[in-house]
Amino acid sequence: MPSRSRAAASSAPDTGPWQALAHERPFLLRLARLQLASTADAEDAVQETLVGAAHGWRNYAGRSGLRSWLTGILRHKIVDLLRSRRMLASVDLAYVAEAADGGGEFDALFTPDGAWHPDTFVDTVCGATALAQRQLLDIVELCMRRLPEDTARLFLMREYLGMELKEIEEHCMLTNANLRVVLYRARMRLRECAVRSWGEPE
Amino acid sequence: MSIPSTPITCRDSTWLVSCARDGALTPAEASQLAAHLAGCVACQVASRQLVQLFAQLDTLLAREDPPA
Repeated sequence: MPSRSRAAASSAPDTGPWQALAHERPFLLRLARLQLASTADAEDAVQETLVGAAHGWRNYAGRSGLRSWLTGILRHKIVDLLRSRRMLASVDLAYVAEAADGGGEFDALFTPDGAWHPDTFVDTVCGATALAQRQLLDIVELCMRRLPEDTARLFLMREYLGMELKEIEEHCMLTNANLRVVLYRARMRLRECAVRSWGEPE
Repeated sequence: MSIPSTPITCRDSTWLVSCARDGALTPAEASQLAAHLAGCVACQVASRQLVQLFAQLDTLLAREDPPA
């Protein structure tokens, strides 16, 4: 079954691309805001994405999911913006170093010998029928918003912008070990946040 | 005959699952993780949770490349 956006895109010959594109704007804006500290920058990146998509609409021709296509365009806009403003180097190195050294954050999750702590382990899984897909994505988005700023920035460089570890390390002047620790902590925080919202026992 | 892998903890296993998201584990790491998961119910659940989380992240962030 086609998604709502695909359905909207398929009706585009009658209405032009703008209706379908406008439908995706709120999602793109939320995504850009997760990566860019400035709301104005996020709005500019999304606007450029939508204008570019409108110009390339004939070439798009519904070959892929509209959201996937737009997210790919936005990804390039954000990378260009970050690089042009040298924002990649704006990571708080002191925080990252502290994160790398501070192994105690997850101590409550594990016993002293490294096993899951029975008092804090959440064994809920994401049931297929427990929550609608949209709700699941809202949970992940909400949990990402709760990540510390520098953690979120590094996490999204990797997970959304698709940058290789080496590139992030070079631009942000991080060691591979520090970056891996930050990504690990982000994923563990997201897991802990998400499983507490899924609410369906294994 | 294969050499038994060094046992790892649950905490270690979460680290390896995170590392696997960024690139292939070494054969030794993969063997350690597999051996641990085979005998640890909690880590089997945690691994499923992380896989589900990663899948949702991929969807939310539309990581998959559109077909050419």
